[in-house]
This record gives sequence, C-alpha cells and structure tokens, in this order.
Amino acid sequence: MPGPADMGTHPTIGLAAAPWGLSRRRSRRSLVGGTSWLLTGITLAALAGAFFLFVVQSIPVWKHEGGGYLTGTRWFFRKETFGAAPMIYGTLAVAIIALLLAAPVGIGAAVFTSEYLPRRMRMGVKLLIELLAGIPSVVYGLLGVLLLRNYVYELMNWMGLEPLSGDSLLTASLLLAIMILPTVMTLADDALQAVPGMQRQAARGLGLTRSQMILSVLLPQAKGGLAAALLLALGRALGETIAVFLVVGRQDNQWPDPLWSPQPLLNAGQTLTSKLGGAETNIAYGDPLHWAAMVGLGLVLLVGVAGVTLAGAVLSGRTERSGQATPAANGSSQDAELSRRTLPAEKTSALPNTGAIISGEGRRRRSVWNRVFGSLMGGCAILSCGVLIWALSAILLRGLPAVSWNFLTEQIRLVGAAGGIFYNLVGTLILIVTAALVAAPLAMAMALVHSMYLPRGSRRRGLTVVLYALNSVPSILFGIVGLIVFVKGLGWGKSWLGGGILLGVMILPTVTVSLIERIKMMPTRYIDAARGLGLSRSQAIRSVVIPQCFGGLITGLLLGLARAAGETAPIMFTATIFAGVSVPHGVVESPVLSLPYHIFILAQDSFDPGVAGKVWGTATVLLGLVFLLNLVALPIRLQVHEEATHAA
Amino acid sequence: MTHSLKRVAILATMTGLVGLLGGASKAMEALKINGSTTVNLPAAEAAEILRSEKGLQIQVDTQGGSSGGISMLADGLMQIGMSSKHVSEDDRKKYPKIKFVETHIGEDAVALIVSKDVWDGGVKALSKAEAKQIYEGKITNWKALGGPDRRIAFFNKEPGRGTWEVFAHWMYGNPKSAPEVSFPEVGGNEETRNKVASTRGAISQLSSSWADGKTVFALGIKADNGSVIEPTVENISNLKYPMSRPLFLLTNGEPSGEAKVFVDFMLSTRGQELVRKHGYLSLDQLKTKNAGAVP
Repeated sequence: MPGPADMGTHPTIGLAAAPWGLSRRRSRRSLVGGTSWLLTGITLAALAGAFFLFVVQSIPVWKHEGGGYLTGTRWFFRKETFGAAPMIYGTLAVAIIALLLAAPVGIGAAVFTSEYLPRRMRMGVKLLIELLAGIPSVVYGLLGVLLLRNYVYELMNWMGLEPLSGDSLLTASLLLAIMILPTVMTLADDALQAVPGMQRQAARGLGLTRSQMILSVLLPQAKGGLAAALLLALGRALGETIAVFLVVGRQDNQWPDPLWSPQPLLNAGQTLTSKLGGAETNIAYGDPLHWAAMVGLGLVLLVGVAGVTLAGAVLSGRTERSGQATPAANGSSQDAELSRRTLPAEKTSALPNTGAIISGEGRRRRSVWNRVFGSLMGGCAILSCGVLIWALSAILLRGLPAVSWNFLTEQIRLVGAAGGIFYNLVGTLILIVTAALVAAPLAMAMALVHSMYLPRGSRRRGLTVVLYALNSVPSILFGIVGLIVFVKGLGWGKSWLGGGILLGVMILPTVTVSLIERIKMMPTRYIDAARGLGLSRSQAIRSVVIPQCFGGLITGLLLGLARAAGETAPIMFTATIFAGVSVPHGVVESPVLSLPYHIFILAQDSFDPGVAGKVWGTATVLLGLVFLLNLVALPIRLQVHEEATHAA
Repeated sequence: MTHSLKRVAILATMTGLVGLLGGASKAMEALKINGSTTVNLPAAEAAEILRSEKGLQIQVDTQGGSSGGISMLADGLMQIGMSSKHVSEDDRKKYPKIKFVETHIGEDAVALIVSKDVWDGGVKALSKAEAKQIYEGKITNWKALGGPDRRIAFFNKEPGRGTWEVFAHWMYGNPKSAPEVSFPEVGGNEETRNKVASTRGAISQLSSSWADGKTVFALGIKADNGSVIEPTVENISNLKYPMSRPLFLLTNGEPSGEAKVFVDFMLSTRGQELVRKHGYLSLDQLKTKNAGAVP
C-alpha cells in the first residue's frame, strides 16, 4: 500500500495546472466523472426496473384476490385460490423465534468479547465468528435436513410433544437462529465498542462493578446500535430461502388458530421464501394469474425485508450521528481501545471499590452477582462458539474423508454417486469471476459518485439507503428477476452470464460500501496535496483516489465473492444445472454446474448411499473456497485498518 | 504492489471481456434433457455412456419434475422432456403449436410406502378406500387400520410430480378432482425416502423401486375381493397393480438428430438394461402392449 511518499511518483501531473475549484458541471464532463455517473444511473435504473417488474407482474393477482391476497388463509393454485397469509405467518414466526433465540445469546457473547476479553483475543474471536458468518446457507440446509431435523424430532418425542415429523417451523427457526447468531454477535460487538471508553471509566470511577457498569451504562448507551443489529439480523432471517426450504416442511395452508397458539410451530409450515424456491415457481410461469400470485409473494417479501432493514439502518445511522456529536466519541472504537489500554482489565477489577458506604454484606452480594454475570456472559460466548464449532466439525468430519485429488479433478459420474466435482468447481469459479467483473466497475462508479461527486446531505444519504436496501434483498428474489429477465425475457435460458450478472448485482453493496469506507479513511491531506499541486478534481480522483481505493476494491470483492460462491437461490432458476455440462461456449442456453446447487440437489435427491460422502465432501470444498476468499481479504482489511489508525 | 495488482486486474478484465465476446458468437448445440427425477436415473446414466462413447454433448436436469419437463420442452428450452405421466389434454391445449411425441421406455409402479414402525406394527396393505380416508384426513391414527397407536404423518409429493398424479388418478380418476388438502410436501425421491425413514408413523407416495424393505416398506393394495396385490414385476406387467405409470421421453415431433440417437439408445438392449437396473420394468417385461396407456 503506497504511503504519502508515493505521491512523488507522479511529478508530471503537477504540470497540468488546472485549478481545483472547477465548477461541478465541468468536472462532470470528465471521463471518470461521466462514466461514474452513467454506470450509477444505469444501475439505479435497473434496480428500479426490477422493482417495477414485481409490481407490474403481480397485478393480476391483486385484481383477482384484492386485499384477500394478503389476508386469505387458503392457497390452492389448481382452483385459483391464492391467500398468502399462512406464508406470511410462517415467515414471521420462523424469523422472530430465530431472533428471540439468537438475540440474548449473541448479545451476551458480544458483551463478553467486548468487555471481558483482552483486545487480541477479542479480535481472534471476532474473526472466527465472521468466518463462520460466511458458511453458505445451503451448507446450513444440509446440516438441517440430515442432522438437525432428526435431533429436533427425537427431542420433541422425548419431551412427550408427539411431533408429526422433524419438519417444523421450530426446526427452521432453530437453524435460522444458528445462521444469524454471527450477525447478531458481530454487530452487537460493534455497537458496544462504539460507546466511548470514557463512559466506562466514569462509571467504574463512581464505584460501579463491571456488571453494573454494563447493565446501567453500556447497554442503555448502546441501545440504538443493538436494536439495529437485531433488525439487520431479522432482515436476514426473513429472507433466508434454501436452509428454511429444506427443513420447514413446505406445508401450505397452515393457519394457526388462535393466532398465538404455539402448537402450529411444532408442525410443518410454509414461508414466502420456501414457496418461491419450490416447484411451483416453474409450474406457474406461463399462467399469468398463478405467476402473478408467485411474484406477489416476492413483492410482499421485498417490502417487508427492506422495511425492517432500513429501519435498522436508520437506527444505526442515528446512533452513529449522535455518537459523533460528542467529541469523546470521535473514532470511538479506537478511543475505547485506548482508554482500556491505559486501564487494563486486570487492574480495573483489582481497584478497590469506593464502596466504603456499602456494608460488607452488600459488597459480597455485589461481587457474587458480578461474577455470576460475568460467567453468564462467558457462557453465552462459549455457547455461540460451541454451536458454530459444532456446525463446522459436523461438516468437516463427514466431508474431509471424501475430499481427494481425484474428487477435485474428476467429473460427475453415475448421477453424483461416483466421480468428483471438477466442473462444479469450474462452474462456481466462472460465476464468481463474472460477478466480480460486473460488480467492480459498477461499485467503483457508485462509490465515486457517493463520496466524491454527490454533496453531503440528502442525496448522498439517498444513495446509501439504496445500497442498504439492495443489500437486504433476499437472494431468491434475484433468482426470480433473473428468471423473468434473462431466462425468459432475453431468451438466454439458463446461462452462466445471467447468473454471474445477478451475483454481481447482489454483491454490489458489499463492494461499494467497502470502497466508500476506504475513501472515508483516506487522509484528506492526500487530496489536499493533489489540490496543492494544481490537479483538477477529476485528475485528483483518477491519480490519487482510485489507486488508493484499490485495496478497498479487492477487499470488497473478496468478501462479496465469498458470499456469491455459496449462493444457491439466485442461480438455481437461472444459471446452473445438475449434470452434463463442462465449460460454456456461448451465452444462450449455456448453463454451468456449481457447488451450491450440487449440494442442494443431492441433499434432496441422492441416488445412492455412496452419495452421502460426496455431498459432505462438496460442502467441505465449498466451505474451503469461501473461507479462502475471506482469509485472503483479511490481511488487506487489517492493513487498511492499521493505515487508517496511523494516519488519523 | 498496488500498481502491479492493478495491472493484473486490468489484464484479467480485458481477457475476460474478450473471451466473453468471442464465446458469445458461437452458441454450442448441446442436447438438453429435463424433467422427472424418476426417469432421470436411467437417462442420466445413458447420457454418461453416450458422452464418453460418442462424444455427444448432453445436459440432464430435473427441475420441476415431469411438469417441468413438459413445460420446458414446450418453451423450446430443451429437446427431450422426461416424464412419468402422459401429456395431458390441458398441456396440449396450453401449447397448441407443440406436437408432443411420447416415447415409452419403461414402466414404474407408485407404491404407498411406510416407515418401519408402521410396517412392524402390522400394516402391510391398504385398500383404496382406506388410502382415501387417510388422504382426506378422516383417519389420522394407524390404530384405526390395525397398526400401532401413532398419528399418521403423511408426506405429500409436491404438485407437478408424476408420482402424485398417478396416486391422485388412482384414487379420484383425475388429478383435478382430488380434494384440497394440505400436507408437508416432499420433492425428490431420496428426500421422500429419507423423511419417511426417519419419521415414525410416516407414509408417502414413492416409486416402488425406492422401497428398500429395510428403512421404508411398500404397502400392498387390498383389492375389493380382499386379496392383496403387491407391486411386483408380475403384478405391474399384467396390470393387476393399479398404480403403475409409464416412463416417457418426450419430444416435439418425432425425435431427430441427437435426440434420436438418445431415444434409440434408451430403446436398445443396453438402454433397457439401465431401465431394469434402476428398478423399473423394461418394455419386454411388460406383457400387455398398451401398458403405457394405463392412466
């Protein structure tokens, strides 16, 4: 990464003596600016277009059912009865229970890592958790369908609940709780770290124990950030498709009576996403009313998830702003770090309480409670790590024995029962490279427009909101849009290009935000120096900002691709088939094989006992790929962090 | 470091773009097959043989089951549909321009399969009336059928699957007259087998060749005269067993070109061996010529 010394490598630029204070009109005419605006405009138009597709294509069902589409409890497509209420109920029930399970454990674990662990260990735990957040949903689905649903079934039998089967809303919410745990934990940790260290010191100085400080100062202060963390996790839970699909049972028309009765949770159900991911999506296409009913489910899901996620974004934004209002909170997390370094954990706990006025009895009670609280939080952290390590080891123990050189280099034989996954690996690589090529220029353009060309204020915030909204879009909806636009509209059929474009757009927010963060962290004196040398705005952007952003671009891409590599829902209708292709030679009707779809199909339709090893092996390879991408991104992320700290 | 990285990235981008444009100009002609997971077993293996022996490009997928095969063939997305049911009049009306040709390659029986506890509990056969009562939710405990005291967990094959249509046809004469019911749905055959095997009191519809007799068991059908008809080769081929179904390869018009090579292979001795290998009846095992016209 070039430091300020590298500025001297562009001596000629100083000769092009254009004044910095150009009017914005003129600078927009520059190549970089023009391209950035154009690409951003195209992207925004495409997103708006996709949204209108959902609105327009669902019109017939609104005409047919009216408001009853949302409140109707019966769905029989052969009789043209479309009531989505049981699916809305299923979606909400599954996501909310998952959140209720994950929230206390996740927040407790975050309190422990943030307030009890020394800095290095905290970073270690956080990295582990973030790595685990990258486990693709199809892998969780595999764990769910082959292990968790049986555990839940046996457990419920043991409790005398007499479940009908292991497929239930409860099973789905348990699986989801595990999936969103890393999200809750890592975002809650961020929220706690954002509370200025001075607050902690002041509280401890007043004689509060650590547990009292956490309960009466830290958590109330971090309230907004914690709520935002929960809302963002809820958004993810609402939109999850593949994992839920495999364990929820997909039973239509499960309407609880009374509404709050817990019994239906033990039964099979249907969610908006499991319906969209199922066989009906293929059957419905071509029948305008039935298709409208399916697209309508997508619209309901989109509006709901975007609403929840934006509420979370607004909350976290507000906390951030109010945090910045107090000077002590500037660069809050580093501040907190700093203050704790001057007041190390061991020393603080050894400080005598200013509790002269507190009786010995009270002091003892306080210290017991303090310890109980600490162990409770530690327990949450151990539980979180334990669950995630269980998930990981369950996969690796079964999968590693199946992975061999031949497994990686042979192609599928005997419908997955023999041979390897060579072309699945190749297909997944083709998809993510395409996604990277799509996302890189668009993200660069949007980041420049956001941070360099748009004035601070409402329009810039507007673009941020768009990015947040796009990030929250459930991945199955990309699949539906792709089916409408690429597969049918453009007549591409299943094509790697369609899938690559969808994945590229899906990871756009990750890449863009990474770039925006990078630009934000860039010391202003770089640009000041460029200005001082007489560079025009577009020249400064081209020769200072863009090269400096490169690390951010790579990081964002790697993180985005780690997610894209494991996604099933966007590509299953649009880009990938089970067997019989190698490398695509064109665009139209040129599907690829892929790792996640292979797992998804084999999880439902393995043809031979020998397949079990193969499917766990495929999951292991997919995990390896995802972790590799995350790990490669890591040093760059740390370096950027270091540099920012250094330059600040 | 940044600069060399940048150069690499630009180079990669350009190579990618050039490759993309170059590739886009010549679309590859591969034979595409999609549909029923039941037909998929022998078809996918046949495709592997033809790929290695004749170097044919064949893609096989199982999206949407038989209905997916029919609709995607009609949409021109593939050349051969796999189906474990006849193309219905409705399908033909929906796609008037398509001339569906069914090539019969074998026969399969749909069985009602149950989990081990039900089988061991004494339920070995059901009559049509009993099956109907289960499906309509009038009988919800195996006790009423002479089995263990356990609730009946019915896993219904999802709509569009040939298996479900054969079942509905048997009970109601026409899938459209089947009553509106809601059960947990299952898709692929293995998913069905797994879920039935791991759930006590479970029953589902499944291709009889998947009933291994260890984890899941195929029930016989009690005829009106009280005799029990098992889904055996004998009973399927002489049409005694009521829930059998033809396995078809569908083409738009008579098969030609590579599609014909594939269809011919399935009808050849080796292709028919594959049909038998996966537990279905090959054509020569079918004693009645028009067995394919059962439903």
